Amino acid sequence: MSAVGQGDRLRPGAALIVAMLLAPMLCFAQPRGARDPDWPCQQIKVPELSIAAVWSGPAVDPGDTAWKDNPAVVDLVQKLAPRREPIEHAQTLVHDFAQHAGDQKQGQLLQVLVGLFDVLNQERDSVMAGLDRFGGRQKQLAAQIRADNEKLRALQTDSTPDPTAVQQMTQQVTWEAEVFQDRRQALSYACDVPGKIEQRLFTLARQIQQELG
Amino acid sequence: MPAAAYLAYVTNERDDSMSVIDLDQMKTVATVPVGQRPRGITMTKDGGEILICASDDDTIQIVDPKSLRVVGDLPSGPDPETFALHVSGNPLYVSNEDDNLVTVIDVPTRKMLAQIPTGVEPEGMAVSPDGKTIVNTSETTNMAHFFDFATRKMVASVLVGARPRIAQFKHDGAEVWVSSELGGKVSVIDPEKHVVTHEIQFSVQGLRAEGIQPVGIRFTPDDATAFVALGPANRVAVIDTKTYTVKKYLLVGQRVWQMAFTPDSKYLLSTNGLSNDVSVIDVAALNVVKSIPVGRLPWGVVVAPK
Repeated sequence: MSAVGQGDRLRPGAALIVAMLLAPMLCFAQPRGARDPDWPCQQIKVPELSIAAVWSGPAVDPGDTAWKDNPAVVDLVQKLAPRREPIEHAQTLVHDFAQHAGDQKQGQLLQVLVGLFDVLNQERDSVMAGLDRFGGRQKQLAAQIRADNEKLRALQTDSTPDPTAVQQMTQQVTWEAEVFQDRRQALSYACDVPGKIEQRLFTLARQIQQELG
Repeated sequence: MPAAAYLAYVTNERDDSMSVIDLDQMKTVATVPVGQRPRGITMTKDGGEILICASDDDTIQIVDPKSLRVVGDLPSGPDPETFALHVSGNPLYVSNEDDNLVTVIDVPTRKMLAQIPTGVEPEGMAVSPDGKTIVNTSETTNMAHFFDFATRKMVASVLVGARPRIAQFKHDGAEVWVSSELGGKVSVIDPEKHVVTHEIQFSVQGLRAEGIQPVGIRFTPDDATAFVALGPANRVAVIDTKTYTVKKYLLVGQRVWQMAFTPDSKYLLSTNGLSNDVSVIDVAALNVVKSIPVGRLPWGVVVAPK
């Protein structure tokens, strides 16, 4: 019986992660040409939203905070922003607001646009920052797995292998690889969130444009 | 509203489906299941068959536009992403991203005529109007590679911007335009001399440079005007091909990707991958007349008479 038994080998899933991390070209799920080394998503990173990406109507200043002094606008923005609010209902709310705005329609709707941009941009910022942190931690974990795998190999190839030490290190690498894999799977959902926020902003901006005619 | 009766067919990459838009009604009238990860779409010259790259099924599906059923397939080679029909209607040239090949297919007999090795990870592909030259873009080398169809040899490589996507010949064959998604520009190449003659940059007030990612390119039949889809800038740029200047930016939908003209060239349709819709641009008026909801992640579009 060999000193390193079947139970001390990496499980296939863990072995795959370790193999991936050791292959220089695949060391991290990184899109080609990415400009931010910690950005973990396939999507090209667009660091911040710009109002120009969703709006080509009358000029607005995204930094204008006047909307915060208009209770009707604040109320509407608070109803429109949450993603749990179905988009169709949010569009109806914009339509109803426009119907009741009378000759103030354009000014009021442009304030709604600026308010919505402000709130959704902040939400997106915090998601982006979270993804960056996640990417950084995932890179650290990848480095840790590589280092521990080196240690494991050293233990296994030792002239007098210590079975307990080998077993412990095998378990550690397996566990780390599983955590890495679980996080990677969670990421594909998280990476869609900035896009979902943009989608909401775009749809509502288009609704505002439509109400302005 | 269009004078002629047209239908637009749109591949929905994430839904494994094809949407059918009636351009008289300006709405989606049917959604039909197709193969996995459908991307490139075109129609045979006689209008009898729709061809769809079902990338993850490693095949090109043939869809009957009357019954909207998949009636057969073509030997595409692995992972077909996009393709181009010769101007005469045959053969079909298919870009196989994973195997670094262009597969040439005889459409009537459904037989593979040739496989030509291309640059590393071919992305976009274009065939010259005379059928003698194939251009494919490689996102690994950031080059447009030129191949002589007769000898099947690479004859030139031209450096373009980062992550080149689409290559498109003008109808007169005098220029090939290549969009660079990360480079944020379009390179205009002389296909005889194999040199970049012009570079077209884009700038939208209030938009950061990295938010402008050129992808699809289309020329009006007279080659006077080009339309370039700018991805997450959510706009299509309208370019004067004499001066190489942008005349106008049209706000369409999110992540605008590919475009197709109606047969009468009155309208240009764009697929918008994130807003899950298709925008209809009035080519003469240069404005967006309608955005029509389709499936998730619309990728390619082709328009044909009813």
